[in-house]
Amino acid sequence: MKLKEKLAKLSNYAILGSFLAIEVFAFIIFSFGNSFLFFGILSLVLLLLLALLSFNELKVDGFMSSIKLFFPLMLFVLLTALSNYSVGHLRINDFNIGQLIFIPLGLLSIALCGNILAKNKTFKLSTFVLVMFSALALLVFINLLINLINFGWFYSLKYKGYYMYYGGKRSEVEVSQLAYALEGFQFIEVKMSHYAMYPAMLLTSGIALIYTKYKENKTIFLTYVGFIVLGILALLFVPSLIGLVFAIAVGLIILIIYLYNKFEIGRHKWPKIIMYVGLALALIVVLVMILNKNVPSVANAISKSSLLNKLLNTNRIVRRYNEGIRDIFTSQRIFGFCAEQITPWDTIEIHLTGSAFFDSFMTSGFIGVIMLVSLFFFGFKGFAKNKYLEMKEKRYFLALLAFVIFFAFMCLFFYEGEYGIFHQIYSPIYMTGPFMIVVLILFYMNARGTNSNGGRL
Amino acid sequence: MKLKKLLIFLPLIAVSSCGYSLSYLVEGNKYNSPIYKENYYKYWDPTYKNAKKGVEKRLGEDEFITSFNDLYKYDARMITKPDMYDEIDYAKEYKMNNIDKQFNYGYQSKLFDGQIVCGGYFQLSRIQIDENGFSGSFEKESSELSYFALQFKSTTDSKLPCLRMDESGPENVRVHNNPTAGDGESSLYHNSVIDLTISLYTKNAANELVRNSYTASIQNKDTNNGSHYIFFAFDLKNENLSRMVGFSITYTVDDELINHNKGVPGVPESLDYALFLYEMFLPYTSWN
Repeated sequence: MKLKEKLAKLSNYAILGSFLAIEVFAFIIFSFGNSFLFFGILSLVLLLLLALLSFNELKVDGFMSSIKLFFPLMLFVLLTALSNYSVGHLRINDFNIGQLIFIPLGLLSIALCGNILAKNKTFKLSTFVLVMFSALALLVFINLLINLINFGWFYSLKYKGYYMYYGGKRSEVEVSQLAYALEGFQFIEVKMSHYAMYPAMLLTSGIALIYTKYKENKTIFLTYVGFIVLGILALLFVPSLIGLVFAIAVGLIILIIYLYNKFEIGRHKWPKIIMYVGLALALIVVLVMILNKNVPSVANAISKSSLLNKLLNTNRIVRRYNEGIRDIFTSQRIFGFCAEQITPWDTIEIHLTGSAFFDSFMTSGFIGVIMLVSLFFFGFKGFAKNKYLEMKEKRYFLALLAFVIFFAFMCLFFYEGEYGIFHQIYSPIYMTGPFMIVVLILFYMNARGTNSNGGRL
Repeated sequence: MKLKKLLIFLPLIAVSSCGYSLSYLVEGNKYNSPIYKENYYKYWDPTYKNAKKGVEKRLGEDEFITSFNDLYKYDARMITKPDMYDEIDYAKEYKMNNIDKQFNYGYQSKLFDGQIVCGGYFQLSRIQIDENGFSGSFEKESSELSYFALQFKSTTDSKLPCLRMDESGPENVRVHNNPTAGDGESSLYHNSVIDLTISLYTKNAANELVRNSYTASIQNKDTNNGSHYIFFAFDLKNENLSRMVGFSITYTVDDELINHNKGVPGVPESLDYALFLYEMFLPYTSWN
């Protein structure tokens, strides 16, 4: 039998590929073992398997439609793997060669998996979304339980002003600002924002629940109710300001998506105008921040205005962001940099900015940031290709959209790449399970597309 | 049926009120105050005060050491170490949190983190105790004890008026109301004897707590000199202690200047003493 015929026969097992893909994605979103290297290897193996099993359906034009996403992703991952930040971490043994190799290999593999699965008729979006949120729910449940066991109910309110001691050192934050979380195969103390982001991501499944009727499918309805209840309990029993911010953000995202869908706002021109104006304003703000830290004349002008000085220089949040954008056009920093500090205990510490966006100037360099922003920009545009989906499937697509929007919002303002309290953990956004899943979703949505009759493109 | 489903949540609720990590919490800046008297650590496990009496031994002068250089008497491996090997290297290698993770948690983890000298971190690196001392419990038991070691120094509140004892005798005490150090005359230079009691708590066959106490009289020169560390250790191999679950440290101080010059003008009636404990060792132990 010719090779082509043999490969065509393998396509009968495409459903096996879908099943394995969903298992792999469940592992990744659960952050099983929290090993980026493991996720990258899984993604590569899955890609090879999917390519074999979906050989019949692979088309060049299918990949070409994703070129607008593929190109920025490829540049982003290559620039990141070769950046001064990665090399610096390699030098101080925080990263290893395998991790650096799989930054491009792993992320590109999972992106292509999304592309292939979009054309695979046996890959059900409903199943993927259900399994994804189930894996997240399991992680949220485990984290909630360990905090209740160790600290009890509402400890962050009851023990305000208390600190934890570990390894002879006092925690840098009060116990109300830390929580236990599963990291690999152990429970460690992490910053509250790291704990709270998982329940908040789980709450994005609420949009799917809004469009699911109890009578239509009791089990699915109750499962999604369970996700929402668990997410709320996880934020309620470990209360924090950041948890509240995340919950409000998710609520607003769900509300906006619901109203957008209900009143078919997309048919009008003005939403696009508002979006582009908003993006332009955001771009201007970032540009001013960059100029403030790179052009002395601009810095002088800003420092003379007390309001601008407070907004852009002296406030606690922006000061951290500024660390990522300071002197970025110098030869030492244009391709990223590794800002090391020697601590009183003779260990090396590297401080990230508290925002994945501003961290990217450090981890991937200036061009890497542009590529990352392009990835998200074209990725969101790809979602629009699916606006003609029937509500039966559209609700899951909306849930994924809410998930990605919340993830982008969190990355922009609240991502802590060094979230360990007593354990030194540097986890840039591109080496996390949720980011890999977001890349998968963007490529899947972009490649899938729906025509105006509700059929696949 | 509904009741059965609800009963599933009962163990969940029970388990979630354990509060295992609450004992690791310390309020605010407790023990980190610039005021000397506020930094005494006084925690005592309530059950330890009622423990049964086991061994009560006063160690003879040849039954303990007060210098790291003599540790080879209890640890033959010290003989094979290079000449430059000192207590800082020893602490990095033998600190208790290398042996078991249980020593990482809580305020007392300061005694097990390998930080054996001050290093400029002041209250961050030591536990300060008064004569009533404190106790510590272990989450696991250990039965194979080799030797006990403790690095500490004694001190008094340095912000007191300074005294100098003239070489000619205690009757010629001069008082300097200048607490700043630097000119030799300002340091409170005098001898003391520290009666240090280390109690190791074990469980007997009936699971009752037994206190085994070891007391040593340590000659301490220059009580107020901040650089005088004492590396105290004694052998446990022949003590046949099994199922050790905790310890306590208490002491008394016989201060030559204060106690032997009562009524002498310029000599204070009493001083606030402390032991600064830096690191505790129970090497070669296994914990279950």
